[in-house]
Amino acid sequence: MRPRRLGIRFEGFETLDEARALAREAEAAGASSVWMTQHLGGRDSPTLATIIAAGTARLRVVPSNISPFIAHPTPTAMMLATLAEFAPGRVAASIGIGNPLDLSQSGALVADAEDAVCDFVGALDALFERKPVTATGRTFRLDGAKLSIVSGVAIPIYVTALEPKMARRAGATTAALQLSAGFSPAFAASCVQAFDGGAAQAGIDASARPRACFAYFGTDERASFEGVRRKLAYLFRNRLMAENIRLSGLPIDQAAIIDCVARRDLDAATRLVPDEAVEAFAVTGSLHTCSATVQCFFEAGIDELLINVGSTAAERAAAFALIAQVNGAAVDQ
Amino acid sequence: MSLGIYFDGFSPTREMLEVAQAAEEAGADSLWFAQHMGFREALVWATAAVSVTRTIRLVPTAISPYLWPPLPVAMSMATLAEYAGPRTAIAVSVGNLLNLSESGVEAVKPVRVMREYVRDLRALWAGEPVQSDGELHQLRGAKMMFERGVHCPIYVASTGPQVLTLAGEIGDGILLSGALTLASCRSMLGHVDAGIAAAGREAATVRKAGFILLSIAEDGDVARQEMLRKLAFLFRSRGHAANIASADLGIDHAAIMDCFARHDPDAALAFLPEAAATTFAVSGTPRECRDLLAGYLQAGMDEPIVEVTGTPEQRRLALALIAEVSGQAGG
Repeated sequence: MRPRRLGIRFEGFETLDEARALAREAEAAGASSVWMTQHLGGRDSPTLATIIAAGTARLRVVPSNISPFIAHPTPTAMMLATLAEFAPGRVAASIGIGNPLDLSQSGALVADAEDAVCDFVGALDALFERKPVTATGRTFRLDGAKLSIVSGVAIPIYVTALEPKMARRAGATTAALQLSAGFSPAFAASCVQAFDGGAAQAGIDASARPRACFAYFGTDERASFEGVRRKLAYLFRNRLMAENIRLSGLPIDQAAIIDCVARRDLDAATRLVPDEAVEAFAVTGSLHTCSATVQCFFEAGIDELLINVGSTAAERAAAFALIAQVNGAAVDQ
Repeated sequence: MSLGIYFDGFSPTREMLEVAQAAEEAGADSLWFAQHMGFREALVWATAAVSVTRTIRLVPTAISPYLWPPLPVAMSMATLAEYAGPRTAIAVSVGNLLNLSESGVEAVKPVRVMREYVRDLRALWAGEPVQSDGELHQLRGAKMMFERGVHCPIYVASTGPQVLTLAGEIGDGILLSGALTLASCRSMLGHVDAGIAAAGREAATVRKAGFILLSIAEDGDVARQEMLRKLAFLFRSRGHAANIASADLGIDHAAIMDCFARHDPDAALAFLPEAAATTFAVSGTPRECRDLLAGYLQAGMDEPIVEVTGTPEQRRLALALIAEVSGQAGG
């Protein structure tokens, strides 16, 4: 069985000093990794990963959601190989479609998205062979490009999935799986099953490939609980969340939420997210409750859960206590 | 006079970090990280170097608009600036045409693309949503969400007259490639000056930097032979034709390119006279290197940038030369 671990993820709004401090605290608490999503216009995740690697000794650093619609495989392979030489054995990355609105602001149009992601993963695989690569993908062409950085350390590549369709496609590549935040354990399980199904259909044994999942985290304090509710309201504006919501069985009016967010009335959208949803789609509550929810994700087939560590000192202390408890228990096993 | 150091990305990261630290202690004032396709990534290396240095300037170099879109580059440099403080700059260039083609990219309309790239980077760092209908990149409201107002000097690197003229017109600095004769350096800086004059700028506001190949050893013959091997590799490119002609050494450039086309680099060495090692580069004993370096300093460069490579003893000699030129010797 793959080890089951808690790591952290940055939400993209942390200052650099906060991110560095959080990473050090997370490492001290026993976190497995820190994931940083490439939000266009935010801090650059490969650069941030290099900074975090320099300030920590063991923590795995994972630039995530690198989009084939704005990144090219050759520079991406160079970046990852260089980072891996700087922090040997501590680097992974995830490839994802990216945010279509943000991409459009940089002149990139998202089309054939799942194909583009899979093509990109294939190109990275080929470049990591350190031989000249000739390949054509939806967003690039390679005509003899070669990665010349010799390294014996493999760099795990994940595919970011927001729903089972992408997870299924990822299963047919060599990539591991990384699910977005705001999923219920049941929906995470359906994505993991889709991933395994895609692999099986392609005749691939994917059982050894990691499956990670982002999750919102909150404490049992009211303000923290409400903060998670607000994040879920914003997330549920995305129509791809329909199946996630349906599987929960909760009476959530997603169409009304979408309308509210379209009117830029996030307060109204937040009121449409019931308490039960906060408990179903996030890791919230007391240490005991959070620990139980984490176990639900593990039982759903997730082996690394990445939580945000909150914005207040109390939330961070609770997050690190949860990490210490879960990962300490993992070591004990 | 201070010297900069450049890294070609061919050596392991550990060696780069050792040299970066030693270079700062020796009095070097800048570290330039070349973006050679397939080798160490310049933006990651510049960031990694922060962990072993305190004040030295950091310059990811020859970032090409054809493979690095403006917003991610602006994000990376702003993140680096937040980490390192006000000691970052960037050099941009069209890039090596052969290497770009291997990644499926054709460098169309380079002068226009370079002009737009510099403009877009500056606009993004200013912090407002950017609208730009460029030849290569179209920005439709892209903007930075942090570190607005970053001032990151932009050097424009080239050896071609049109882009050099553009560099003088719009760059905070210009950067010349290595393996140039003094005559080539003067000619290229002339194009830069023309751009500066055309834009009505003060010449002193545009920094003139240049890579200078350096091979140093107590045995000057060893240093020169090593340099010839480097030069042969660089001269496989058709782009060096005018530079080679400027040396008037009777070098058969076509024969050198033929050797590399046949994957026979050793054979190419036969077409390079020993004088090439001191005509296109700084090579020899420490004393010889010091004298040759003075020639480049007098050719009009504000920021000469040398490499520190070879055996540990050769690296020690190179660092001693840097310390001497930087006034740090014995300090």
